Amino acid sequence: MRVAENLNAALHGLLDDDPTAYVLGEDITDPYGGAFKVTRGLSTRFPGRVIGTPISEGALTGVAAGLALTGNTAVAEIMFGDFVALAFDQLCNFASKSVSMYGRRLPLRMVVRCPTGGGRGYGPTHSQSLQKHFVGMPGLSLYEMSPFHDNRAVLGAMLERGEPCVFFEDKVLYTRQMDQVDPLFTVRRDGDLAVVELRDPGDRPDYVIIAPGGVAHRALAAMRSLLVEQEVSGRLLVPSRLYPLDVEALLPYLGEVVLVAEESTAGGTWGSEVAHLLHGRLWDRLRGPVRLVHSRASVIPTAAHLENEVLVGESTIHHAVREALRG
Amino acid sequence: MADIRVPKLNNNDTEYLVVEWLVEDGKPVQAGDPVAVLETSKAADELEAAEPGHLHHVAAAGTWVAPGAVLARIAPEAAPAPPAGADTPSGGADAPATGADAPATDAPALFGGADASTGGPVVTDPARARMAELGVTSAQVAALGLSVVRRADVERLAGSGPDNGPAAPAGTVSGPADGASGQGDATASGATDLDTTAGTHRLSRVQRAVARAVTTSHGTIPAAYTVVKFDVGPLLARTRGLSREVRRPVGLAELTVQAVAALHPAFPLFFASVDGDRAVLARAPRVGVTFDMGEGLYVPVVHDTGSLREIADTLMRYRLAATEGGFRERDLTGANIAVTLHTDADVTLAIPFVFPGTVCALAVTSPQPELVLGEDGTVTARTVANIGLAYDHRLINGRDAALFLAALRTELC
Repeated sequence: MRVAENLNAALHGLLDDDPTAYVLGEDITDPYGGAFKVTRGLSTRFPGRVIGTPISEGALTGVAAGLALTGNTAVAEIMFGDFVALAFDQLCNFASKSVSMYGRRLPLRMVVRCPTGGGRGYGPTHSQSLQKHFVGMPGLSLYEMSPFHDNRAVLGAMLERGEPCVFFEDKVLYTRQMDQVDPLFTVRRDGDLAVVELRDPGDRPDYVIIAPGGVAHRALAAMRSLLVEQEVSGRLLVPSRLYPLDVEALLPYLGEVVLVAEESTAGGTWGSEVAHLLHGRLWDRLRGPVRLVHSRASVIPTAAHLENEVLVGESTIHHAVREALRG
Repeated sequence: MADIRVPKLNNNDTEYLVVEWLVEDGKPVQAGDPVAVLETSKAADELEAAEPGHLHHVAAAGTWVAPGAVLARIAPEAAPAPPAGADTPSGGADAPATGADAPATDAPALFGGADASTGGPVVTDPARARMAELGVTSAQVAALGLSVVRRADVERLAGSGPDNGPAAPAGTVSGPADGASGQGDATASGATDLDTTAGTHRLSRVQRAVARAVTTSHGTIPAAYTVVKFDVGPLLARTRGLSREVRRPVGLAELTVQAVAALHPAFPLFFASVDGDRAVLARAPRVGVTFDMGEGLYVPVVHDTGSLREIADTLMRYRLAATEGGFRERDLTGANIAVTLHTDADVTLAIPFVFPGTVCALAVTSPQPELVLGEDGTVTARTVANIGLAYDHRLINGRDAALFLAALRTELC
């Protein structure tokens, strides 16, 4: 099953199970079913609870927060995650505060979905990874879609937190198969964490990469080429919740060489938050500081060959691992 | 025989689902007949036969195929069908294991790789190189039943494992094992034991060992020498930042050792030793580095070249040991390549001898300023160092030496 179908099924399941659940967004109703077809079939099955909105990210996010504040479950779709910046005020100054500023904790069941990232030729304003701008906001949790986490369970986990969540969905994942990896590797789950390792481990891994779902397959391609060319073996950790990060869950899987790969540009990133948390726990055991792998500091070009040069890819990660191992 | 390859049907997908075969395996088809239905994330598409013949399925219905992969073959005969799952027409049993050279560019790479479709193991590049050296066939490594075949597996298969095999030429590097070895500059290192009465100069213990190694080298190793000028200015500028980063002193020596070690996978012969008509390869790079602090010339070995920090640690310890003579036995044994350092600013060329048991030695002279003409004709300065390679001509030729030095430049600068 493709990731987009899995997410579509998850939304069907949510609307089925929860009569107070609403889905809002631009062009999400049938027959169009959303720019990435993730909401296909929803408005036909659940008329009145799947609402096509005008082009106003601030307004639709505000409505979603209002629905949540009054006891409903709300899922808002930002058509391209770049435009979640327009809803920043609703998230930062309203939704996240509403959980705690009314004298007692007031659970908000709310998810803002953000199709994220490049690799599809959508150009500078439709391809960014804005995760870092939302890291560290009290009352706001960040999740990222991955091919190794069932979306129904992830949706459930987000709503159970009782606080607004932003769900980053790397667009390149939509057409990929769930749970599929190169046959060299196996995937297992430890709670929230997906652990991808060599099926036939030579010994303990020489390095560990932490990467959210959208970057995972690029990390795996790098892990394959590193194994085949250099006999260097690695392990990949894919968390579903980015923030607050459950750093304790990572610790048993880390070694002396750790990298974090993410598609955003460098500077105040999720990866630097991860690195900081790990340095506090592992400083004595690390061979060097946790290394960060980012896209180049550039707008994202539309032309595919130029886009490739800017975004984090297999070779960026491959190179970073070699550098890390060389010290 | 013609292949039907999976066309690029849209830009959104890296693979498509084979929904169904419209023509059964082995049945005749005419040119233009639809033979299979593929589904993308957006639509289903029929593929047609380009020429008449008998259709042989390569991908099964219900599986995922990548653009460029072979979906089916059209043969003039109904039989024999090609081996199930054979993805590339490479065929021969001795084609480098599992045809992994072919599919890399072709199909998979991302998910659901070619090695699964061919059913064979993934053979790493170092393992492949070792197979060629030891005469191990693809069939033999396939019989191991491993999903990944590494270099060590090949060596085990050939009965030349770590314990009984070639390993490092430790035992044969007699000079360093004796506690000393080095170059012919007998001046500084030996003047400790003067026999004043006879008007002769008796060599020190360290220098006698040097002399034995030099004599053996010149008597047995046909050496040649190539020297290349490196623009090391940017490199030296980088060392300061690196020193801070690893919190150890990092200079040209540390970076050269690291760069030389990194060339081991690509240039195994440079780390080998000669045994009659064979070259015995080393499993890992172990870089001997010359130290002469006035107490004799030592060539301790950097055994662990895993990180710059380890290299910097080791060299710092050796610098201290060289002033106090405090080397341990294991510090001085096991080199399979050597780097000789010349820190005197006036040295522009130094030809190291090749330590017995190794096949080459690098000489790094001190960086010096040099005037150069810029592209616009203006005169500017840069900092250069001559890095030379003395090598055993039985194993290495001039072209290889030049390639090695070029690769070193890439690695270093």
